[in-house]
Amino acid sequence: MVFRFAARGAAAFASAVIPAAKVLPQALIASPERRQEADADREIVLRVQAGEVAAFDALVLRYRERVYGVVYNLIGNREDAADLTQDCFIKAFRSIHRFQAQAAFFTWLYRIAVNSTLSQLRRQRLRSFLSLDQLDTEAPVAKEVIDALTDKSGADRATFAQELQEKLNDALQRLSIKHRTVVTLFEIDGLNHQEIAEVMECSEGTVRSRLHYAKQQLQAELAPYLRR
Amino acid sequence: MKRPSQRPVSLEDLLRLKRAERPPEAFWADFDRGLREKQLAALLRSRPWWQRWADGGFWPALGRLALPVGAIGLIAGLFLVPRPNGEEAAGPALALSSTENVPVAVVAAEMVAVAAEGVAVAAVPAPALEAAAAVEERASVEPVALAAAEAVSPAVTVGEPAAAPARVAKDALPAAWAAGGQTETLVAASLLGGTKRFEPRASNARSVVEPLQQMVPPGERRGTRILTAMVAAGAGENGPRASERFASRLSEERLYDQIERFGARGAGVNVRF
Repeated sequence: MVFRFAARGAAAFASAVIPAAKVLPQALIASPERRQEADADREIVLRVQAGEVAAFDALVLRYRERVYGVVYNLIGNREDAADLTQDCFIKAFRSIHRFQAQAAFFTWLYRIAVNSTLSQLRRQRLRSFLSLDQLDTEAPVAKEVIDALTDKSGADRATFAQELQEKLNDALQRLSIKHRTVVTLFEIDGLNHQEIAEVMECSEGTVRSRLHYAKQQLQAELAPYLRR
Repeated sequence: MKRPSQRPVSLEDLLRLKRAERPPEAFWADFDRGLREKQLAALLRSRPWWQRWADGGFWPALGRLALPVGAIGLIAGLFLVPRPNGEEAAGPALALSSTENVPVAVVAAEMVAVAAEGVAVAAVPAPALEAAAAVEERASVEPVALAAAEAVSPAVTVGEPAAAPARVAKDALPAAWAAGGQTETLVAASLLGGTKRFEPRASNARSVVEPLQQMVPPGERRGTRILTAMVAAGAGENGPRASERFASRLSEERLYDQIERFGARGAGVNVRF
């Protein structure tokens, strides 16, 4: 009872004081949806910082698939990706008292995920192997591309989709870690250059340069599947 | 037969296929369970010190270390900082070492040491006992007593000018003579009270020490050597002559007292606070 009262009081105090001092830099958040999301995140973060531990579950539910997607696309192994995603949330939970609203929460969380994954990749460089999730060929995004590439149907279509998936992941894994990270964040997760630069703690020019180089390499690797 | 569409396929389209790679729903149930377990473990497990310091726990950790660090600093200060007024433990050694460069003081200290050998000196500094013995014998001789007092005064005080303690001793001697029938303890107490604030029980504690009791157990020899080296180091002028002289003149009772206080037993030294 006392704890709940204290936590509520601290949350009220924080919400009364912090918004004036720690307004998110709006220029860093591109779209209105992302901005709304960031505002909602900030309120949850304040509750967690005030001692309401259960509020962290809302952040987990909101970001677990995206964080898992980033880690999975970087590491190419679903089991390792699950472990790393859990570790990422644990790290965020432990360090959330240090989080200041200088940036959006998702940027901060992505940074933790990317750094954890890069550390893991550097450790297991020689023993990494692919373990892929099922490609949902009926999803609109996948169906359109596969229809454009093949006229097969049934089992042959599934085999083609699996082959394409393996080639695509293999080509991604041949990229360097930093180039893979840029491609993953930009093309798959939809972050803009500024957000990627913030996550990777580098300049936007560096992000653009890495993206350009990575795409060149991927085009060479995946040329048989491209149609102009 | 179904024909593939003529729609161009770019690299971005291929990369977008990755968005369709999704784990099954059962995966998230396992994920949540594992995350919950890790979260509980993280709440219960104490983190290593570098992570706590990295999270801003440096000053609390330093606060917890304040007691041992302060104690070590205090000990280091006791042994390294030169002390203006000698304490009972290191008084004679400091006096001897500090008067080595003064010929008159050296002579006086030697006289006191020779006179003190027959008296089985214990906790009370030898110069004061010499002065008290001179009073008791009533040897004709205020000049002798005064000379003794003058002679011993450099050895009694440490770091002070020699004239002031000597004057104090001179003032105390007539009062001691007036008492006449008072015991040696009272004389010593009156003499020492003005200069060194010795307690009367220190002289009462003196007793005849049997030869067997004077034998130092072998296990405590090392403690004695360590103690001697520590005291000599604290004197600032740690010449080998001073430490050896102090070791040879350190009384048994005082040695045991210091060993007990520093906790020197066998091969180690345990300092008590």
